[in-house]
Amino acid sequence: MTEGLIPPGKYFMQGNVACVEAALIAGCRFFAGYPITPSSEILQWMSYRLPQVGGHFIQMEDEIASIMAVLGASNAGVKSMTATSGPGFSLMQEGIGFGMMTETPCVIVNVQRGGPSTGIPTLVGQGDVMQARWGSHGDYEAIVYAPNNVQEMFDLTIKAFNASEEYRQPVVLLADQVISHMYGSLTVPPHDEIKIVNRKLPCVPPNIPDFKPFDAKYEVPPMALAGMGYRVHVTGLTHDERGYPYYTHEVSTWCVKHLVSKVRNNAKKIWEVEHFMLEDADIVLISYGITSRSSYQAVKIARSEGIKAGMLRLITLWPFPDEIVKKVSEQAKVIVVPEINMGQIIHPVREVAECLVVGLSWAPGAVPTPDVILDTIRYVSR
Amino acid sequence: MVRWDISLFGSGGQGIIRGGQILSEAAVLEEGKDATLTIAYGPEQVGGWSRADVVISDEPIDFPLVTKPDVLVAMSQEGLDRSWKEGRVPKKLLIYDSELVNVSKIGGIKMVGLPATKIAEQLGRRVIANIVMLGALSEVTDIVRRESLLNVIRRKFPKALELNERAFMEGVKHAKEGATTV
Amino acid sequence: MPKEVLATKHPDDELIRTDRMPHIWCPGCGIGIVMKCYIKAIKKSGIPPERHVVVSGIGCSSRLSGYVNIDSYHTTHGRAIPFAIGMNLVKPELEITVIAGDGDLVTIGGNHFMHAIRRNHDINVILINNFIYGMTGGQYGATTPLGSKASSAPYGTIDNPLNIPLLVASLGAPFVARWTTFHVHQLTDAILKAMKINGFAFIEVLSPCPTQYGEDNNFPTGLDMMKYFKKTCVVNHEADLRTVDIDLKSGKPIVVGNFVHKEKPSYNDMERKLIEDAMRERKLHG
Repeated sequence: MTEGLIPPGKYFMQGNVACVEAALIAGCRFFAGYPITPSSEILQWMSYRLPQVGGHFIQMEDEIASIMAVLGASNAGVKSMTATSGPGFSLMQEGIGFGMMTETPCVIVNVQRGGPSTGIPTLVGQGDVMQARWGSHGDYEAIVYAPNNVQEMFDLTIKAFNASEEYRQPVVLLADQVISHMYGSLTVPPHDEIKIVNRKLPCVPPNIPDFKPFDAKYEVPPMALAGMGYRVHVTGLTHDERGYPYYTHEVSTWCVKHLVSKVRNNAKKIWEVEHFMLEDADIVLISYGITSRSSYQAVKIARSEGIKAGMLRLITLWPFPDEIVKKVSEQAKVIVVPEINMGQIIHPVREVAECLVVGLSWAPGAVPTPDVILDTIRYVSR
Repeated sequence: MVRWDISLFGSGGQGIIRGGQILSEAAVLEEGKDATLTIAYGPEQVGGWSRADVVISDEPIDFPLVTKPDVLVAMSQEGLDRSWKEGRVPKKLLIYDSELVNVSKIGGIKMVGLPATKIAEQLGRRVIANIVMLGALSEVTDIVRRESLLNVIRRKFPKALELNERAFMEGVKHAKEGATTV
Repeated sequence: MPKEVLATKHPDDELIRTDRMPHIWCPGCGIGIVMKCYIKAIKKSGIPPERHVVVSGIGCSSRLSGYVNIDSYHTTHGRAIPFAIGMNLVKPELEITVIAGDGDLVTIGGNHFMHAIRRNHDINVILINNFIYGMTGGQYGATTPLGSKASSAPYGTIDNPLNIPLLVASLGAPFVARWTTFHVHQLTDAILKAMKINGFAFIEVLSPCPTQYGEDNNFPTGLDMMKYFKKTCVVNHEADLRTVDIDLKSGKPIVVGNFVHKEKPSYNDMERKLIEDAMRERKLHG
């Protein structure tokens, strides 16, 4: 299985390329995509690397087709992925909802650029935070990872695959133009030390009467794949345990609660955050992605000036680590939320914070430098 | 903590990005330091401006972008002019191609000029001007060790080993001679 | 005297989700006939039902996937083809048939339809053309004959309908057929041929929709449309496809037949070779 995969060792690599190499290690053997800046390197590197390991690459006619092909391949049992940026992510939303409803594992990489609309295609943004959470219609719980360096483009891609297989749903790697295009150091650990999760398959034989592909006795039901003989019916309609569509409030209640509970009940297992100089901090930055790189430095400089600053870095944006944020806020005087948008993750922060929450809204097209964040820290510390 | 912010600025086809890669890889793979490389281009698909920003540090890098370089390597007039216009004036050192870049209006900074492109042409390959510049950089700074750069170059160009090594050493030689402090 | 016998089983029960009956289709609708032909073809195909997969989109026709007792995927509106392509690429041993309506496949899904044919993926596509959006309440679509009344065209449609066989053939599909729900045997035979084709095999099936199309356009019952098919259809396998457009008002003959039946390398053939070469190359050069 390790044949053709990137060998363990130290590398200097582009974020998008690291993402591809990680996906292959995670077991991804199908990629469908459509070119879009700044994610195209993922598509291009996949087109080169997947055939080498016996995988399938296809460039589709648009992002709608890409996500649907990914879901088709995954329903046949192959770990699958696509990559895009804002406009393409918008087009994929219906398909993402279909993946949620049909409980189909897959990974969607969204390399954020400036928006809305065509926006600033070649430059950075963080404006898709809420779309990654609420982009498709109806109720579901998104799982979204936000890398802040090349190593995390690698590590979190594998985690995204693992979470998608574990919870049977699409998972988003929410990168940004800088992290994706940046070259940085990467350590690939020995492959047998990398945790890989594979979806559970049914343990009952096919062709038993009353087989339930969405059996309610499981928090995450084992996945019966096309061609295994279970004769499944998989639909985007509200369905019962048998997979059959039903238009009753009773079935809808079960179906929707099942979809959200499997993530809500395991949120604490999924949450990942980094505590940075938080021990005695009374001014706390809540930061993620490329912005957190400025935040580290701003915190260090503030400390050197005698300001008790710290940072809580969100590695999982969704499910939102509300209890962790609440706890941090109980000790803090002020929380500052710098993001490259006009205020998105600040909303769930405000929902739980016990202290004053100040936004640092930064328009897309550039990263707020450490100086910009430091100015805000100085201002609120007075 | 020692952090170096280096900006290599020129035009497409001058090997600017490759130069940035060699410099960063020397730091990461040869010396175990941390490095980041970010690149920027003009909108033209061919022949526009091209910039490689490298951060090298002996500790993990916080902010990975270059806002004000310590060192600017200017390989075209546009590279120099844009840097000044955008306030990206080097704090410590300017290295420039003395045949392509006019520095008569620049002052108050350590400068090293060498005809890198001409040297490369004389060696028979215009595209190795970037290697000449890296040689010069290794002579006038201690960002990374000379041997580290050479090791990366040897690994990357096994088929044109001798040519690249000569280009590199020409850069070293000219930098020794051409350093001017104004 | 033969005694009255109560039938408790139907020979096709094995391939029908009987627990989902009754179905949602209206009296006189033709979709059930297509389903019967598909089931017959599955049985005759020699491929075990476990290897057959049906993929559909959204609409009356697409509900078919919920009633056939094989692996069945009822996807989003217009996107059955790309879903089927993903599945086909990773499990080419599956016999995947996309069955959906005209609004789904060639209106909202027109772009996927076109590119799937161009790339020649090894899937079968059965387009059930009832000239109208049935499920949403009788709005006109890309196949509604010019001048038809529809719930969103009370004065009659003014846009030209697609000539689907011409479109599909122009994109190079190795198998292109058109039949109607009146041609049960020919349709079954065409589906069997499609299953044997290596590449994109396409069948348009004209089908009555008395509820949403027929009522306002002089075919008040399913039988009226079936009689019209019987009266006006002309079998011509060699037809000039530029002439096979449909006009249900003038009595112009409806041309049916297996128009294209040829061999051509599929996307899967090309991909297999590409992967073999890439793997060999990597092993040679590391």
